[in-house]
Formats: sequence, C-alpha cells, structure tokens
Amino acid sequence: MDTQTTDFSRRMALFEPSRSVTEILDLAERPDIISLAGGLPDPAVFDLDMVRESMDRVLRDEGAAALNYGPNAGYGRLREWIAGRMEERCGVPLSPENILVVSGGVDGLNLCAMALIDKGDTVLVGAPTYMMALHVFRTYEAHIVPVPLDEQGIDPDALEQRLSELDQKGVRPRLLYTNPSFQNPSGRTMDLPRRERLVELCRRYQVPIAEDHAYGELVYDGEALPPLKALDPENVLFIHTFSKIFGPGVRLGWVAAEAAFIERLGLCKLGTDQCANTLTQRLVHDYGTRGLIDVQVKRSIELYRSKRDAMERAMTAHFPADASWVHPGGGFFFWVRLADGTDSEALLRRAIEEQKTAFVAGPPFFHDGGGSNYLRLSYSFVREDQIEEAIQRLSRAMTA
Amino acid sequence: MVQWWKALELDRASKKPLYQQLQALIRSRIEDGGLSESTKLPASRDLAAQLGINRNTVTNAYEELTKTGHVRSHVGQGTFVSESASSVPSPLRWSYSKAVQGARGRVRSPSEATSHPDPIDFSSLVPDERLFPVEPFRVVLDAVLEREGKKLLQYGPAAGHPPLRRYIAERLTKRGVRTTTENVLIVNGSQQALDLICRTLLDPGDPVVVESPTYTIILPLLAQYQAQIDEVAMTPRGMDLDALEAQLTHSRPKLLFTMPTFHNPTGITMDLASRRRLVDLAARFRIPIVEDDFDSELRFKGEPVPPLKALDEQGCVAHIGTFSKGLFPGLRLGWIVAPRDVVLTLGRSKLISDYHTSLLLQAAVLEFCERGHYSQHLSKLAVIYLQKSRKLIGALERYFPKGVSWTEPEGGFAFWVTLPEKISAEAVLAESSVDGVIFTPGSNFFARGQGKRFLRLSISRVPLEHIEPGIKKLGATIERLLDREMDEETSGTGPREQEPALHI
Repeated sequence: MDTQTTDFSRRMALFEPSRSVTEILDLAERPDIISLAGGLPDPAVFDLDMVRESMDRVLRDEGAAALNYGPNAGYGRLREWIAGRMEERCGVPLSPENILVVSGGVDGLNLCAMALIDKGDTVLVGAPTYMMALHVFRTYEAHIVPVPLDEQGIDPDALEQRLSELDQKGVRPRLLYTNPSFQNPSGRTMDLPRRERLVELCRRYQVPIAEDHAYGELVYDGEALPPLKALDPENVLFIHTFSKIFGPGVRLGWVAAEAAFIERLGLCKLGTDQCANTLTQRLVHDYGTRGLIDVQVKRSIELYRSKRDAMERAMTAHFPADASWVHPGGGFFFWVRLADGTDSEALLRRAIEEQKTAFVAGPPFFHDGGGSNYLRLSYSFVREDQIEEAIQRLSRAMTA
Repeated sequence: MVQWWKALELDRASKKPLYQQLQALIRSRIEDGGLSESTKLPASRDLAAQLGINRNTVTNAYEELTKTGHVRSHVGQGTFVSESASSVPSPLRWSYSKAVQGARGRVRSPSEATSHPDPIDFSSLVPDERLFPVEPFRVVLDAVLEREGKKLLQYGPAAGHPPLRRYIAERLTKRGVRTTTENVLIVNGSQQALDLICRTLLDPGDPVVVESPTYTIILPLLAQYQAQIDEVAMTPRGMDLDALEAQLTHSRPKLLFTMPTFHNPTGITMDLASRRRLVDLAARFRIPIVEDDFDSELRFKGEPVPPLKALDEQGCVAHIGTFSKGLFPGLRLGWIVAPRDVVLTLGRSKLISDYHTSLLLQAAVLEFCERGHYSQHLSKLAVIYLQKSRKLIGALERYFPKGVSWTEPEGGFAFWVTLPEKISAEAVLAESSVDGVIFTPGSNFFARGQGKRFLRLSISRVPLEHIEPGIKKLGATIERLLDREMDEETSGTGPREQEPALHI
C-alpha cells in the first residue's frame, strides 16, 4: 500500500510545512518542557461548571435542533447576540446580516482570502505578521507585500509609500491584513490617530482592510481603543474568534462585514464545510447571553496581566542588557529583540535541548526573511510560578 | 430647483437606525455629485417635519456627516455641503476573486419554491432530528466535560483527536481496510473533506471525473477550484466503467469522485466486481479516487459491500466518511482515510483552513461510539428506513403510471425516478408543489443541467404515514401531465428537445 505518488497542487508547494505551528502545539504537550511558544489560553480561565450548565441546558431545551444542520451563515440568535455585543462594546452599528459565524478566526481569514484573492493579487501585511495569515495568503498564490512595523504596529509612512508605488504601477492591493490591537507576534497596538490614518489611507487607495481582533478584548492597561471597523464600517472586514474569550476547543469565530459581502462569504463557507458546527454555536450563545463571556474576559485580563508583569519583571532582571521589547498593553506576547546577528532559530534549538524551554523564533513571522534576532514569548499558557524559571533558562541559553 | 430632500425615503421596517439611513442617503447624494459644494442643507426642523421623524434624528445624521467631513455647519447660518466633500473617498466597490465569481450560486431547494405551508417533503436529504438520540448524547457530553473539559476547550492537534482517529481506523479495519491512526484525518464533515482534497490536489484547469448525476454541492466546489468537469454516466451497477476506460485512454484526470455506496442522487450501489475493476483502472492509469462513503452505514437491507479503500493496494483511494448522516449533522464531523503522505499534506491544508475540528465534539462522539450508542442508533435507523423504503416502493408500484421506473436502494435515503421522455421533473414539481408534495428535480445533479426526466425522492424526513398519500398525489400529477402531453401530441404541437438516453 501507499505506493502511488501523489501530485499535489501548485499551491501546496507555496507554503512551507507549517511545522512551526504543529511543533508549538506538540511542545506544549511535553511535560519536561516549559513552553513559551503557543498562543494558547490558560485553562484556568475556563469556567467548566458554567460550560457544563450551558451545554446541558442547550441539549435539554433545544437538543434536536442543536444537533442538525444549521443556517449556513450561523445560528440566528448567535449572530444577533454578536451584532448587539459589538455595537455595545465597539460602537459599530451592526445587524445580524452583517455577521457570518465561522469555524475559528483562521476560517474567517481563509474565507476572506478565498473571496478576494486571485493568483498574483497583491496583499499587504505587517513585517512581522501572524504566521498563519502568511500561509493562507500563500495558498491563494498572492503577491505578498510586507510593510515594516514601528512601536505602534504598521508604519503608516511606509504603508503610504508602498500604496503609492503600487498605485503608480497600476496595482490595487486586494487586502491589507492587520491586528491593530496587541499584534501577534509583536504585541504592538496602534493608537487612535494611527488607526485613523490607516483607515484613511486604505480608503483613499481603495484597499479593503482585514482587521483581526483576536486579542483585542484582552486589554491590560487603560481603555480599549475603537477597532478599525468602528472608524470605517464599510471598508473593514472584522475577524474575531471565540478562542480567546471562550475557548479554542469549540472552533468558533465570526466575520463582521457588509451584508452583501457576508452573503458571498457564506457561499464560500457552503463549499468549505457548509456551516460552523451547530451545537457549540448554541453553547456559546447560551453562555454569552448569561453574561459569562464578559465575566470570563474580566477574569482573563486579571490573570494574564499578572503573568505579563511577572514575565516583564523576570526579563528585566535576567535578560542581557541588549535585549529590548515594547511593553504590550494586552494580548499574549512579548516580542523580544536581541543583538543584531543573533540566530534565534539556533537559540531555540539550544533552549529546547539544553534548557528545556521553548519559544517561537522570529523568522516565520516575516514573509521574506529577516527577524532572526527576534523571539516571540507567550505568557498566556505557562504557569505563573514557572515564568521566572523559564526566563532564567532562556537567559542561560542566550549567554551560552 | 425641486427640493431634493423631499424625495428621501427612509425604511422604517429596517433595523438600521433612521439617523444612519438618513446620513447614508445624504452622503450618497453628495458623493454622487447630486449636491454641489456649499449647498445648504434644510434646517433640521424642516427636514424632520418633511420626513415625519424626530428632529434629533436629523441632528444626529448631520453630526455624523460633519464628522466624516461631508458637511460643515456654521452657527446661526446652517449646514452646508463641504468644499472638500467631493474629495472624500467614496466607499469601496468590492470585487470578488475569479474563483468565487466562477462558483455558481446555491441551487434553490424545492421547499423554497413551494407556497404550500406544510408540504409532504420527499426533497430533503437532511437527517430527521426526531430520531436523534439526544438524551444519551447529553449524558455523554456532560461526562466528557466533567472528565477532561479543560483539555477539550483547548486547542488540539490539526489531524484530529488521536483516540478518535484510532477508533475510526479500527472501525474501517473491520470493513477490510488496512489502515492505522496515521492514515486518518478528522475534518468538519464530508464537505470539508471534499474541499481539502480539491484545495490540496487541484490546480486551475485540471480535469476531474464525476459521476453523472452527482452530489449537488461538488459541482460549485469544482467550479470554484476552476477544475474542468468530465462526466461519466451512471449505470445500474454504478459508474459506467467502459465509458471511463475509454476516456482514460486519451486523458488523465487529476481526480475521480465517486459515491460507490447508496450513491446520491440515484441510490445505486456499485457491485464488488465493478469496484475491483474501478480500483484496477485507477492503479493502472494512476488516477487518485475520492470515495465519498457518506452513507454506507445507513444500510437497511442486503449485505455490505467492501469499500473501494478495502480493495486499494496501491494507495489510490482517499476515503471520506462522516457522522452527519448516521448521527448528528450539526456536529460537522467527518474523516478522510488516505495514504500517509497524502494525509500529512491534507493536514497542512486543514491547519490553514481552521487549525482543527472541535476537540470537545470529537471527544464526545468518540465516547458516544465507545459506549455503543452509535451502533444501537444505526440499528434503529435500519428498522425505520427499511419500513419507509417498503412503503415507498409499494406506493410507487401502486400509484405511478406505466413508463415510470425507479431504483430500489438497499440503504441511504435517495430513490431515483425516471419519467417518460415526454415530461420533465420541473413540470411535475410545478404542479405537485401546489398540491403539497415536493421532491428534487434531477437536473440539479448534472453538471450541465441535463437530466430533465429524472427526479430524486428522499425518505429521510417524510413521516411513514405520509409516504403513501404523497406518492398517490405525485402519481396523479404525473398521470395528468402525461394525458395533457398526449392531447398536445394529437393536436400536433411542434417537436420537442431530445433528452440524451441514460442507462438508468
């Protein structure tokens, strides 16, 4: 058996094996390793008793309907609840027709890419950016144009320059992908004037924005800033996930966009997997309408803020003087810059083998190389009482 | 000049607040150039009175327009269209990828077409939720949440929950498939299986063989991946292998899709000899086969036939299965069994599609199966659907006019009816739906809309006691159309289009 060689499609050659992602998940499982690699939530934020209560209620009261196919765009009452919550929290006026329930944030991104990108189309991303976004765009054979970040995320001057160069060549990018709040991997956040400028630029050059809000609710310092979606409701595709506000195990998220666009995305979803699974949509709806998502977000903020502070203290105490980072006001990550010339991938191997500590090296977050002197350290999953130990181990690996 | 604002129309039934509607209406006038620079907008009091709305609504709309730079207001003078308003960027016009433009819209289901409030439904293949084993599933879900909830709410491996992968491998081993955990990828139902296979294997322009007729949703999916669709007719023994062999000698398709067991829409099961020949052809011509085995567990009579995957010695077959038909469609749980390197690559596509399938649901279904509930449920379904199929066949024999024929499947929900050449299923549906009987016209299942004389009857959701009255009405409708046809023929209406003869 297994003798026939398979000809894969061209697009499969365009993204390297996503080893980094699977390795992250594998490492988190190994008991002997302290992992600062994965962007996994801390299971302590899950309120299992309340989840069981909601699940039980859904199956008792709506059992059969909760287990059959649901509407392609998602469970109506969940769409309604999402629209209402976004309006309340972010000031974006939305109706249920503006919401497509998807199977997690990556599904949302994949569907948007499917709807908008043809082979050779230009897509703008941050350098660095979320590595899964790069993989998704590569499979659609997009021409990826990275834009450097400064301390607040995508640098608007650099963006304007890219847009104007592309415009002179007659190229209109099909999408700008960005995490304006607590970016993965850099943890950086755009302030309000930055957001306004970005939205204005994209509108001027007629480039839709895909705004990934995955970490947007996990605000540890000060007030949440309005998402780009609130600044330009028409031109922003807003992608959010339940992974960081409920739990990744249900694989649910949503896209908020103009109703006509949502309808097209729904057709794409029909082809990819028909609809998000019905049962966990109803579970999340029940849990959410009981106010428990908001409670969980509050609990998560307390927990992660404390872990972030612990990690920052440890890094200040133990890291070499030339290590630097921008203090993240929320989210899951520190993005640490080491001395130029550092090979973070070699460092990672040393850290795992000699120090039993894992993180993610910088290069996979860049489309065209670079970033080898950066590390992404996640404080979300690691136990708080292991953080200092982990940072000490990493310091040892750095100075070895 | 006509007062432009008298023509503004607000939709009071809309959920969009009135001030936003008003703002949008005025803004589009400005952006269209319908209102030139420095035009004075009506006083809020006047506009409110004219439109019969609250003055605050108008004030709010003006404020929004001020924020976006479309208008400016001067205290004591009023509100004016900004000088720079024409340079305010206009909203985007979204343009879709060619792939998405190429995919055809969703096929309209017959239930959307009927005005009858409560039709007898022979159209839907959706499982009947009245039969769902909800209570044992509720107990199982609570048990897995209690036991390992914190782990199950977390991320999991892209290829699936390892114990469920192992369970599926073992289940298939019992059906003669030599396979291990590493050959199994868990996906969101068979639809995602098809999508991942297309995504992983097809480039634009690649030829793909499908059965004719075939599963409705594969067609737009293939269109989206810009595949070239080659149809091979169905025979009572499954796909026409002579035709396939002839085709393979001059072109090499990238993939071949087949539903060898209880084929949708025809209900036909390919016999063992044909299965062997198909797998041999695939091995000889090096064509990957996608075996969509979505409903083989719904056998209500006869002996199981081994899946193509059990006959596959050279790794030519990707086998798709699902819990959607035999258990709960809403969980979106299915699997692909394929050679290891293929599963690895499909797993990468899965990762960039949605990371993985819900861990909680995978664990719950595994527990449900391990406690024996799934087998019990399948046995219960077999009894019910055997009864329904007998009732249907009895009614077809009694009430359908001569010249109509049908398939008699041993499982699944779909029965395929061939009408006399003179009449089309659409014409039958147009009349029967008024009488409250619906089904799916055959042309939905053909890549080029042919097959007008076929129709699919599904026994999935129709209650047992509605089968006979439904078929009786449908028989009468067909008879009526045939009579009318005879009258027209004798009165000499022009020639009609010839339908290609199919083997069924």
